[in-house]
Amino acid sequence: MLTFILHRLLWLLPVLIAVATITFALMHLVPGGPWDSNRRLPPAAEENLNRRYGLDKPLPEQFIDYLADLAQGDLGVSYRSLNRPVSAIIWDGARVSFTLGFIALLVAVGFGVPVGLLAALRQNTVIDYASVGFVSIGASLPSFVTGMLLLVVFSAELHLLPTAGWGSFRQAIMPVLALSILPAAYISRVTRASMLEVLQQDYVRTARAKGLREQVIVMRHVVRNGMIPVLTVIGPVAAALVTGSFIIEYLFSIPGIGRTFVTSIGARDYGVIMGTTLFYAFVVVLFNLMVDILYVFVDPRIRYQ
Amino acid sequence: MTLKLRGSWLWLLVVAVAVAAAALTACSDSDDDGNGGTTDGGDGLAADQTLRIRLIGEPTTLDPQLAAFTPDIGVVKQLWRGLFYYGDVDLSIVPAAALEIPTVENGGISEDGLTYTIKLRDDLTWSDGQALTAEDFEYSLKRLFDPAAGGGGYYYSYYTDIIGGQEAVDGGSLDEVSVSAVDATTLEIKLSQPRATLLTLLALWPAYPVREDVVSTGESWTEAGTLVGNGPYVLSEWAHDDHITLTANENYWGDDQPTLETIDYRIQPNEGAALIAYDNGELDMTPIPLTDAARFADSPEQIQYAQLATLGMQFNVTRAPFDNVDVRRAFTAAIDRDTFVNDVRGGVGQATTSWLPPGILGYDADRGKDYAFDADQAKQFLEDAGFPGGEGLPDITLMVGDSQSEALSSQFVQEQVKRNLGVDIEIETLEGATFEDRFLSSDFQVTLGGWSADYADAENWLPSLWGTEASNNISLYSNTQFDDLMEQAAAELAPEKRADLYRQGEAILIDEDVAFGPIYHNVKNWLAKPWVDGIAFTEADSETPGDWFFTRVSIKEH
Amino acid sequence: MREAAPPAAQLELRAPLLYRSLWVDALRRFSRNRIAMLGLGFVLLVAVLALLAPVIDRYDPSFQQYSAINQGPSWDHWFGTDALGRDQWSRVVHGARISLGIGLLTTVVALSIGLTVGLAAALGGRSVDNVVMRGTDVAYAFPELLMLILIISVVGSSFVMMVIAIGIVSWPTLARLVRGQSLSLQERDFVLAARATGAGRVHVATTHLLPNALGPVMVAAVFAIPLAIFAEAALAFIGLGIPPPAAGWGRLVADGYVGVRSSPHLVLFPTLAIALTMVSFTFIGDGLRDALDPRASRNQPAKERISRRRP
Repeated sequence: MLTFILHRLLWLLPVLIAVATITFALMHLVPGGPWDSNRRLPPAAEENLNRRYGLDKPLPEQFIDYLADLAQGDLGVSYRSLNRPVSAIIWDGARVSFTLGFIALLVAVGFGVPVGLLAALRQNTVIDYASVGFVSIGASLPSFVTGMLLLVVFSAELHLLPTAGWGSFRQAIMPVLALSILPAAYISRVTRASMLEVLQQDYVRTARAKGLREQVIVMRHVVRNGMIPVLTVIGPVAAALVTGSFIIEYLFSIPGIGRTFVTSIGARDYGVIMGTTLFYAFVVVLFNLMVDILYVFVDPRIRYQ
Repeated sequence: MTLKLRGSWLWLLVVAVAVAAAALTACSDSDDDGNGGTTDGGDGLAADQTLRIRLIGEPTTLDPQLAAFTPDIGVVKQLWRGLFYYGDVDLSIVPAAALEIPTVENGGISEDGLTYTIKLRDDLTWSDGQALTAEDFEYSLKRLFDPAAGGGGYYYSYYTDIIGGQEAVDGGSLDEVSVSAVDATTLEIKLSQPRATLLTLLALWPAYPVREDVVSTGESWTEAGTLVGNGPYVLSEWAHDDHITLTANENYWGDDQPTLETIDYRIQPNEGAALIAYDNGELDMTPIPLTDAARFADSPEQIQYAQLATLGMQFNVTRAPFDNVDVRRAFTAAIDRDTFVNDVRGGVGQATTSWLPPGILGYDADRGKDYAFDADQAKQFLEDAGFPGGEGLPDITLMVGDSQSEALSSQFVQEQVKRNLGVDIEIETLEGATFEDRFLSSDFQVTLGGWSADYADAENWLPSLWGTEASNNISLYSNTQFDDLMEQAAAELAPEKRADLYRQGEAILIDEDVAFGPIYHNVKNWLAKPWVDGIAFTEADSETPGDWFFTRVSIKEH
Repeated sequence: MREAAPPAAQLELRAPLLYRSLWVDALRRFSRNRIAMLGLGFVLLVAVLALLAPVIDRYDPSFQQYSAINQGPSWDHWFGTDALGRDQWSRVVHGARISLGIGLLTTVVALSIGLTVGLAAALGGRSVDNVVMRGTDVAYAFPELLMLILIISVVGSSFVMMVIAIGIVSWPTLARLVRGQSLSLQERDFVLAARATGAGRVHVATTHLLPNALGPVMVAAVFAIPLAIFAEAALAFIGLGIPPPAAGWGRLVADGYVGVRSSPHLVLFPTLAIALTMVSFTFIGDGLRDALDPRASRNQPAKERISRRRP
């Protein structure tokens, strides 16, 4: 097990370097630069800026400089938020997005798994259709539509909830709802499918034949085994939630990293783009690793050499 | 079956109850209800003098010598006062940190108009109590040309009449910049040629004073807690990407003492959500999205007023077919501006055929009358150009960025050209920075562009944008007659003569050469709660109406 | 001697029939699933409407009528008009072409890449698998937005480019799924048997792995279609969609949503279109999964089901 973890962690480095290289290349290939806006900077000013931030050096040299700084933990500064350290920007944004995403994940799993389980146990009854259908309807709309609807209903019409910002519990309700609907539907669907498949298994039939009570069967066999595919799904869902959704953060004015990232791409804010991409890559790889580890613990049939 | 059934129901129930309970208990921690307080703050003023406004985005910087975008400038204006300021909504210049307006009579301006000797008030202080002297102004104005500071910004180029300025930006010594503190209350500025607008320029943000020991603390000196200004407000909190809080400066020396105690900026990029926030009582002022213009047309809370801004078709006059003046005439005359402003924009705007907006000296109400909307005339122009009925025209692409308003305007223009000229043009929509890159390298045939004034003078509209050598000449327009007029106007001090010279210049630009196809002047359309009193809006507001005069605003009891 | 057909010929006849009957069976099961058929029906309806768009629209979708701006639904304009006076019914119907087109074609692209990569990973042995999977990791971890902006800024945002662009960023999930399925299938007895009798890798892949893995993969693909439609909507929201005046449903919603309180009809109809299509594809996907799995409980004879209930 330990060697497995170590092996995967060692792969982290080449993955990050590959991501860094591709991002750096793409960033500079895309037309437009950090100083572009709808009026031209005086040419001397542009020269001064490029010289100050090392943007007048040849690209390979810039890349090596970046890697060298990175090795020392220096992610550089932002241009859009002039001279603010990229690490501070990522830290501030990621904290917010992570909290929001984590709560949304809890809600999604907290609703999705029981609903899916219920639907599986009561397959093809009204309860099955109603519960899965209900969750799916919320998931059949693009997230910005769901978000806007929530805003219109709860803020504009009912004046119950605040529209903007981040900080209090009330401000988090709508974004969490909007964010968790799609994953909840997806998780409930996967749970239902997986539980259904387990319910067909011979060992469940055997357990019933043995005369075990239904609830024991469900708890000990069905849920345990049925959760495996659900866990694999939760991994990427969690990673996506935690890295922030631009649309939700834009609509609800949440200072998260999803919004910062998209804005930085539009602004060609190189430092933030690189830093955030590496951060994302790190999170995704880490989450995949955690899921794979979890997998091993939950399903003893899986063996990794 | 029963227990497990109850088990999963139970789980669902628990989660639901937890969420509901938390929501209910949190209902009491309302920190964004409207201005609390029906208690009298005296004179009918509310007890809580807080103004809550929406900011369209996170400011790039709060460094006055580098502030470039509207959120930056809007906030900077509250934190500092320069030598001069706008006296009233007519944008007249009055002394602020200066003691009096320098003139030739009082010796403030030398006979040849090249030396300004400005006396400062002797009661100037920074917000932390320290004295503000002419040395601070010397440091700040020199800093405007420092390649590591203002020399990397947009605005230093307006001040390059100051001897030594341009050289410093190019790498020369800052000591050569001819701004010097003769003594603690006297500042001397030497110009290379007379400049009629110098006093106005000294009222703008690039000329605001910063203190050397504050700036030297490092790159993050603009954060709350380290930033020190001399204006009516102080930066008490800057939660990045979320909100900015300003509080009244106790050590403010100025005559325009603020009544507001707090200005609360909420950063809310989505204007639809901002409108909902306004409805919900979370904001006191917000812009009206174009799509909702009709709904608020008769609202008593609406504030609508003209801006010094022009939008229209920006031609690359060196690229076919827009290198042909008759083609430009044809396109300009093919646009039904009145329908655009009245029907499509719901009346928000002012149709125009002029480049300069009304309010700028040199504006001529008859400018461009030959190109008012007339489909037959437009077709005639096209025939004059050698393309009767559009035959022989190369493919034409209208290049725009990805904003909603550009999508709307470009589709309108496309349809107008098709209907009134019989010409089919393509719309090329580019992602933001991709568009800017092409735009700034003039790599397009025609685009939707325009200008929004930095300050209310024709000098900001003509030479820097249309002069042959001007760095901001995106259209690649060049006309030596025009350049000559601009040179004359630059050195002219008498207002009427200047206005006349600029008027003549615009006549060449628009009436003769049709270098730009104007469509409309923009108009600000905002909402303000009835308890916000004293809003003094001007044509040169940055973002929020009245943001030059927030010191006049107060919150009434409500 | 006509009764007894040669045994060899009989066997030949039967083997392919048995093989094909998995799909025929599935088809039959699917057609008996009412909800899935409902979904399929709706999708087909939308497809027909999309194909017939030039015929059934009542105005040219780009015709601007300035006297009829932002009007609600009426007899003249079934779905109302937008900010430039264009008929929304026509825009929605033409939008169906773009949305459905993007949904289907991007899934085809993603599927092609995903299948190839996933199978290659599963079959290539451990080291190939490792490299390919880490490559997928990189592709997965990569910010798609940056990639999309690059592609779009370089080649322009036409329909074809959008399809390729979205397809390119969606393949990692499918590849993962294919690889996962293939790996687990490889351990199954029938595959081991095939290998034991000397079947080559490619043959195993195409004859044994692909058809069995195809089930869940097809289900995933069906779910991917509405996600592609969402992607088009999200991109339009950010401003990167197909350039105007062409507009998919996503762009229609994005255009209208700021004014949702003044002109709700602009958001309502395209949103309904997206929602109903999404739900329909979901039903189809569910139905497909149930149909392809002969052991799914709904496919068991009724008396098995009753025995599951206990007092």
